[in-house]
Amino acid sequence: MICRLFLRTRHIRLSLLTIGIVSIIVLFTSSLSVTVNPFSDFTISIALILPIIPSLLIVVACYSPSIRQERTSARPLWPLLLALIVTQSLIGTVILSASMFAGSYSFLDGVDAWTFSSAVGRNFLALVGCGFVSGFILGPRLSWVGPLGWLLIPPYVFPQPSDDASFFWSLIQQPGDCIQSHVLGAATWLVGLILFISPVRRH
Amino acid sequence: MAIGRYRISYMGAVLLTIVTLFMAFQPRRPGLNLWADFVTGLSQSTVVTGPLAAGFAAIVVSSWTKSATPRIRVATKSGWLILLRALNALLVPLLISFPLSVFLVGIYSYLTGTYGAPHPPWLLCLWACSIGAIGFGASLGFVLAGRWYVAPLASLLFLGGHILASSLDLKFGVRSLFPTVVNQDTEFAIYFSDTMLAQAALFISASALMVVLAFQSVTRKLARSALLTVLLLLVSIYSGALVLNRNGQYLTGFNHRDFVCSGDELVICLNRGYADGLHPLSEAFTAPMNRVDGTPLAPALLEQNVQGVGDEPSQGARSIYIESIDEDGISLAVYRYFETYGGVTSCMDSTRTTEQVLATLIVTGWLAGYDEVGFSESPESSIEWQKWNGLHELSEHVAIDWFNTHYLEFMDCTLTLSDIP
Repeated sequence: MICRLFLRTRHIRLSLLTIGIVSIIVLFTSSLSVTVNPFSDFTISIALILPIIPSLLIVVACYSPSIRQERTSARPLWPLLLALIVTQSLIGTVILSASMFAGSYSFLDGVDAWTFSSAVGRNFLALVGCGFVSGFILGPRLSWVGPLGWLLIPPYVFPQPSDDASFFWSLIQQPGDCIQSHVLGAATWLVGLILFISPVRRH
Repeated sequence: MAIGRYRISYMGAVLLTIVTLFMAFQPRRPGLNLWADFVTGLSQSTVVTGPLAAGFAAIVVSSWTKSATPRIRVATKSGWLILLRALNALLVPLLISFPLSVFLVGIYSYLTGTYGAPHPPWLLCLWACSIGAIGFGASLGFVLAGRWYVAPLASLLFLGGHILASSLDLKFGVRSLFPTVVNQDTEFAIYFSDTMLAQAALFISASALMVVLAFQSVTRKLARSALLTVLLLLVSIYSGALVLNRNGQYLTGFNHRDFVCSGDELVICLNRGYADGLHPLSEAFTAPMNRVDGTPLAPALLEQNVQGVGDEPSQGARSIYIESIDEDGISLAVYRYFETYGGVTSCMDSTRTTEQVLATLIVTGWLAGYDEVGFSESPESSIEWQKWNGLHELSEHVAIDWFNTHYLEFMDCTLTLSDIP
């Protein structure tokens, strides 16, 4: 009973539905690229941007509207929260990557299929983590600010993503051909997760 | 009024100001301190602040209407008055974040002596962009009051609109109807103020229209504000038509020729904002001047110009195009001079072979003392690496003698790789 109520207040159905819809969009737009910064010739695959939609939704949904009551409740909710976020993140990563993989075989003859599909999953995890970090710093109601800033600002600061100091900041634009980017993406997710379930989180 | 109740609005305003300032300082070029670069940065900041402002406005208005909408419906006061007071308290911090950023940039530029001045209609247009984003977010906040997803939805919709507007194959005029400005300001320009003013009018009236329509849909008070709605609609359509008619064009290239000149053998004239580059540029030209001494390639008077804009230098002068005043920018300016006035222009002829083009590029790089193509980084077994190094291992006067005997072939782009020692 508590479990069902918990899942309903976290809007799990809408989150999963969004993951499904976005993966269908990823499947059909896997060959398209867009420019975020019109002054640089660097284009970014639209599939690398799209994971921001489900990740923002999951992060915002995880902050319950009745968070004060929950904090003082007898039953600790953090194991449930942990299980929920890990499940959603895994489902999202697998489905988004798989649809990018399928998309690149249907529309791009499988060129760099592994590189791009792993980058899509990495971006999803990294943006989820960034959302929780942002929620920790700016407060639950502004958790969506961090991922948007991470997506939008680096293309103007580093017009050409490269392996130097800009590596972490322009992570969202990087293709997934090197292992460090995956490690950084997963680390961001882990940090966000720890900050979110930690007892010192601010409300 | 307690600040606590409107904390999100103030937090949002602070965040927007920080982001705008951060973005304003990004396009600054090394060695140059120009208002044009600040305005470019402020223009680019609308891409980032737009989605954020839409989200902030949505969250602020949404949390306000949740509690106050029923009270408005039964209030004895005019609903409009309550709305205006609330909007004032909720949205004014967000609305003034852009002027505040411009003010802070203005203080910085006053203290550091930034060259030039921003064009006021352009700044007004940028402010209107942020008003447009806030209006969009606020109207979404009215319609979806109290929903948990309203803020990310507003910002993602705005971001999606920007990506569609900038990526679809649209005419520039249609693109300009979306409230994110990505134009690049330049010192070498005449501005078309009417386009910018029309754009500002469009964004402001369209966002007011959205807010009014959203408010009407919530309170169901349609008839009273019908006149206002029609008026805003007319202004939006008229100003939108003006923008389309201009195809969104803001500025056209123009050299003010506000020159500062220095030097005796070689006189270099740069625009006042670039004057710090005079000394490094004349130093960078010393060695190349030695190499081309006595040939028509040696310049006597150089005037700053804008490549691609097509302004011609005055009689007897030649163009120099300068991007920044660090080491790279100066070397690139010297290289571009030899590229423009040397043999490379003759290489456009389709009868020239790849080898001839390569040889001309190697000599151009040697003359300018700048490896633009990257010959020195090509593999050591390659012919271009051997020729590049062969030319550089010669003593200076032997190389100059060699160049003087092969000057005509170089200028004609008929030099072959075997000609190079």
